Amino acid sequence: MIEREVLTVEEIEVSKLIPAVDALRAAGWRIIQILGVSGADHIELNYSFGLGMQHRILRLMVAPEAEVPSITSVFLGAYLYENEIRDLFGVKIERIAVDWLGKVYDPVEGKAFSKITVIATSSEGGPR
Amino acid sequence: MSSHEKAAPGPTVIPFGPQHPVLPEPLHFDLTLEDEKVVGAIPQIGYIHRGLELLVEKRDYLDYVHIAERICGICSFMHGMGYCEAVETILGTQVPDRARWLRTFWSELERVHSHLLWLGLAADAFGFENLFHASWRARETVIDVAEETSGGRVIFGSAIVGGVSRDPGDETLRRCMKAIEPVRAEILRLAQVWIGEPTVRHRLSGVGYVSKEMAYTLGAVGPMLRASGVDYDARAQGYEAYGEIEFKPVVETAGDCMARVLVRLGEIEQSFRILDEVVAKMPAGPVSVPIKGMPPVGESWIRLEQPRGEVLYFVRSNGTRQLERFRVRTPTFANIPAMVEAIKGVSLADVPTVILTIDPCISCTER
Amino acid sequence: MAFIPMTRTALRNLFTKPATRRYPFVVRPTYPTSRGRILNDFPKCILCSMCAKHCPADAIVVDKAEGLWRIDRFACVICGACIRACPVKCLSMGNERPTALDFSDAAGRVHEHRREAAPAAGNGSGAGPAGGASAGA
Repeated sequence: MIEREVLTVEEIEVSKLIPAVDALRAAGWRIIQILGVSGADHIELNYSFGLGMQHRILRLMVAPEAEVPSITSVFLGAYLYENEIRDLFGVKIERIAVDWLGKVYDPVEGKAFSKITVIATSSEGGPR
Repeated sequence: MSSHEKAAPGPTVIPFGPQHPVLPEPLHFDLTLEDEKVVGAIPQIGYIHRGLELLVEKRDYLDYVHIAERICGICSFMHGMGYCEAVETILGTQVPDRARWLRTFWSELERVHSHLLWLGLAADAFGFENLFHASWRARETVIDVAEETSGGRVIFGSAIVGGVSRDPGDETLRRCMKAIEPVRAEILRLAQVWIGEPTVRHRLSGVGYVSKEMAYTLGAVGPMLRASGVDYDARAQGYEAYGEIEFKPVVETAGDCMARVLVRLGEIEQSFRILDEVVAKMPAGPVSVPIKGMPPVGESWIRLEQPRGEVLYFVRSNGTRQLERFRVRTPTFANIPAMVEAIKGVSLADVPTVILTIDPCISCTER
Repeated sequence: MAFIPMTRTALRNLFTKPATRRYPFVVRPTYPTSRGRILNDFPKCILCSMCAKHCPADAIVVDKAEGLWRIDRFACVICGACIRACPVKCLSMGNERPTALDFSDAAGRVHEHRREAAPAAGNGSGAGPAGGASAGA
């Protein structure tokens, strides 16, 4: 096993995201990335932060129509990650500081990476 | 704007890219200019998105390393190595010592060839064609060494899950290090031009300034971060054989394009020293362990230092031979916000220089 | 002064031969371990199609009923996954890379081996056009 960095994974709720990120910023952590993994009925968002050799991950489980606040108010550099997650997974991230309005990859069909099957509501995919 | 109109000059929007002579890879900008100064920039990526992250669900996890290597041409070995390390962490495999040192050898060789390529492109961006080709001529010997040891000039093809796929042998490694000696002398001569030539300094100093605070907040990595004074290099974790090698990050404080050139020149010098040390200390032994069966359920996070910065790999396995999720967060993806910040305030002729200063590898960014 | 190194380089370039090779009149010899092309020692091949299953580029087609093993050299990325997957070790790596002339027509891109498929009872007397022993030996 390659054990070389101090890695902690912490599951938090959507409402506690901004305070937790604020605390990390105040302590000097930097943002590494934001990652999305699609489950069958939810999307999992992993926010990675780093300080020196430490690596802390905040994990959120997001239901399909839930709204997630944007952390660009704390870390401006997160806008590219949030735009990408919104485009590829369909997660509703609100108030991103620099918003590319769905044009990161500009695909023909949206939400390509999401495995959630929406039965009743209308799909927003289709040719742009 | 014709000269007889007395209207106040307003902002002009100029599209830049995706086809442009200095861009190594397609990237589009809508630059808002006032006179010749850029006041805003809106980037647009997505020209070469291939969906390689979805492809991992269709390919066998042992074969996918060859696809991971081809995410990008210049940083290819480290993509393969990062994928292998992530899968090996889930499997719990211990890679043999010689394989770890060979992987370090090829990583540093890749760093040298990538930085030499970048030096050439950066010289081309401000029009110094002679320096461009002199850097690339020096790079040819390095790539020949890569072909002799690994089989491929740019895509090495030697990282596999469980170790490396071939052993060049100590004799070949020593001969190759002797063949690279003239390249080191040549790079020292070229470094004098980069540092001392007044026209080069005029084009690079003070251009594209990013402060330490902004670089840190915007999530910049690699030479972009180290040129602004932040002392962070992912190799300090000690992965592969880096824990057993003398190594210190190369840091500058000026935060402009000149500082990034100096960081990369320093890293080439440091990589040559590391290559010497690796070839001297390489242990004997097997170079791979056989891997069979399905991977267990689990996930792993791996961070490496590519030539362009810190790269993060995430692999999640659900117990079958196809992995559930593979994610690469490449350094260029992290540097794009910092680049957009650096472009504001430069004149139009300096835009290519600033774009190239993050060493954009758009194939990596878009997978 | 810093223009001395570049002036010296420029003058040196005037009086030495070019740094580039006059290809195709001068060809650089390949190294013995270069990744060039995939070769199949066909008499040993059992047409199990493990190589086709493992190919990341889908370049190999194997048809046991017809006794066919075909590789599309244009699609092949010479990664070696097939070599590692082969159970009888009939695949190997040659060091000559195909050139653009090889790929200039469709026949040059595809390389195939065929053998007469032996009937299921295995009477074993058919020698295929590729000189192979009967399949399934």
